[in-house]
Amino acid sequence: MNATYGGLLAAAADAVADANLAVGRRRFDSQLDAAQALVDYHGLLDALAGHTWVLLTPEQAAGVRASQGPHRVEVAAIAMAETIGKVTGSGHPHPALHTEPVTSWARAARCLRAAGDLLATHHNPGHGPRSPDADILDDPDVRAGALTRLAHLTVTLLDAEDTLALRTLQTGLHPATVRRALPGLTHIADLACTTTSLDTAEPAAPRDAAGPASDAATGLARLDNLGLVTPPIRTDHPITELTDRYTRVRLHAWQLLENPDYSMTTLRDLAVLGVATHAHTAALHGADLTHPDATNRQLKPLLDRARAWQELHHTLTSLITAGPGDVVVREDLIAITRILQTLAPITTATTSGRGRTAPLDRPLAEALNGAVATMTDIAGWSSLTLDRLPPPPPVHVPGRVLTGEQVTDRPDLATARLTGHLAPAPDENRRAVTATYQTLRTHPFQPNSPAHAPDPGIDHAADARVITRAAQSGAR
Amino acid sequence: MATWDETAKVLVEHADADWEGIWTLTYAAGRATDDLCVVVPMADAVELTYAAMDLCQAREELEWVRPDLPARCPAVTVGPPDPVDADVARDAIARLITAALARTEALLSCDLDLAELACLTRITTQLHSARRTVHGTAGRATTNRGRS
Repeated sequence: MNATYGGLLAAAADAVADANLAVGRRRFDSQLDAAQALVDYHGLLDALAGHTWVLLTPEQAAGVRASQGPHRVEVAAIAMAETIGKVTGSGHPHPALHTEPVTSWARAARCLRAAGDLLATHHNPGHGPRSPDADILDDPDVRAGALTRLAHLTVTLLDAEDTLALRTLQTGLHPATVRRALPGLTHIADLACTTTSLDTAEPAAPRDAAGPASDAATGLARLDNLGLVTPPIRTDHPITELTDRYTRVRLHAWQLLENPDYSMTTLRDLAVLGVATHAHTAALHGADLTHPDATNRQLKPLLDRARAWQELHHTLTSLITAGPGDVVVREDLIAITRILQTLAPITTATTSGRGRTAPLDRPLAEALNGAVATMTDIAGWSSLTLDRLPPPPPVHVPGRVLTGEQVTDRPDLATARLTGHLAPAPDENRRAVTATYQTLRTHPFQPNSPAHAPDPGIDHAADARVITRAAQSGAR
Repeated sequence: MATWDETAKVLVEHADADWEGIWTLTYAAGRATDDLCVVVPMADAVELTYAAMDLCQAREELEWVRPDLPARCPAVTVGPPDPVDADVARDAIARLITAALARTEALLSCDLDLAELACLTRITTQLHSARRTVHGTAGRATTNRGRS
C-alpha cells in the first residue's frame, strides 16, 4: 500500500506504545540490549525534534519568535524542540541512525522520519510547491494541530523514562552512563504538556463558532491523507487504482498551471473525465440515467454537473491549439473509465424509478466522492490554465464554423470565414468556457453552490495565490 | 432543413478519398457525436462522449501529419441535433465514420512515408473504437425523448 502521513504517524504512535509496554513488563536480556534501547530512545527524541522543524520551517520559526502575537502552540513547540535538541546534541546524523532499527522506539523514529520525508516530497529545495497539497501546512491551525499531536507523542515517550532508567540499571550499565542518557527529562515533558493543553484554533467569531475548528479538522484530515507526490499506481485492486489515478490526474491538472502544454486536448480529456465521474457516481448512488427526467432529486446536482462538463467538452471541441495532449492524463482517463464501467455501471443495479437495489459499495462510494471533489479542483485550475495562455491567443477555430454574427464588424474573421483559414477564437467562445468552469469549480453539494454561472468576477485573490504557488513550483 | 441522415449521405458521397476527405468526415462525425451527447439521456451520453473523444483524437492525429488540414478542408457539420430520433442520428454518425474508414483503407495503398503510415494506423484504431461505441450504446437507454 502507499504510505500516507497519517498512516506513518499512527504507526509511530503504535510503536511507541509497544516499546513503552515492553520496557515496563520485562527486563533487558543483556547490557547490549539496554544500551541499544538507550540509543534508540534518544534517536526517537531526536526524530521528534526534527519533525517539529519539518512542520515548522526555520523561516516560520523565526517569524514566530519575532511576532508580537504568535500562535501559542507554535511557541511551545519551538521551546520543546529546542530543549530536546540540547539533550540529544547537535551531531548529525544521530548515532541511532547508524544501526538497523531493533527496538520499537527505533521503528517509531523511522516512521517519523519517513513522515517528514513524505512531506518534503511536496516541496522543491527552495520550499516552493511541487503539488497542489504543498500548502497544507501554511494553515496555522493545521500546523498547530500537527504540532499538538507531536507533543502528545513526546509525552507518551517521556512517560517511559523512569522505567527505562530502572531497566538499564538492572542490567549493570554504569549509573553515570544511564544518568547522562536520562538526566531527568521532566522539563521537556512539561513543555510538551503545555503544547498539548493549548487550543489549536484561535477564538472564533460568534457568528461562525464552528468554522475554524471544523476547518482545522478538515485540514488535519487532508494532511493525514497526504501521500507521496508521485506514488506508483497500484493495480492490485480496482478501487485503489481508481484513487491513485485520480490523484495523478489531479497533480497533472495542477501542473498545467505553470507548465501549460498549449493544448485543448488535455482540457478536453479532463472534461470527459468530469462527465464520466459525475455520471458514474450518480449511477452508483442509484440514479436512473436511462430516462432524461427520472432523476432522483438528491442526485440531480451530480447529473447537472455531468451535463455541464459535457457542454464544456462540446465547446472545447471547436477550439484548436497547437500543443499535443498530456499522455499521462489520457492514459489515466482511459483506465479510469474502464474501471468505472465495471464497478459503477450506468445501466445496472437499478430498478427504474425505484433507485438502487444492490447494497452500496462504501469504499467505492468514498473513492468516487473524492473524485467529485478532485474534479471540482480541476475545474478551477483548468479555468486558470486557459486564462493563462499568453497573448496573442493561441486558441483558434476553423474559419468556416464562425457564424455571420461573429464575423460582423471583424474583417479578419470575415476573411477567415471566406477562405476557410484558422481564425482566433472569438472572445465569446472563451467566455463561454470560462463561465462553465466557474460553475464547476464549486462542489456540487456545497450548500452555497451557485445555481447559475457566476459572473466572471470570481475570487481573483485565490486565483492569484494558486498561480503564485504554481509559479514557485516552476522556479525550482 | 436537411436531416442528419441526408447531410451525412451527401458528405459521404462528395468527400474525396484523400487526407482532406478523411479530415472532413472525421470532423463532421465528431461534431455530430458531440451534439448528440447533449440531447440523449445521460446513460447514452457518457458513452457517446468517449466516442467524441476518440474522433477528436483521430482528427488531431491527422492534423499532426498534415497541419494545414483545418485551414484547407471544409469544416462541415450535419446541422443542429435532432432529438426526435437518436437512432437515426447514430446511424448517420456511423455512416460518416465508416466512410472515413473506407478512405483510410484506400489511402493505405498509396505511397506514404512512415509518419503518415503510423498516423493512418492510429486513426483506424480510433475510428473503429468510436464506431463500436456509437453502435454499442444504441438502445441502452430510452432514447427518442420526443416519443411516448
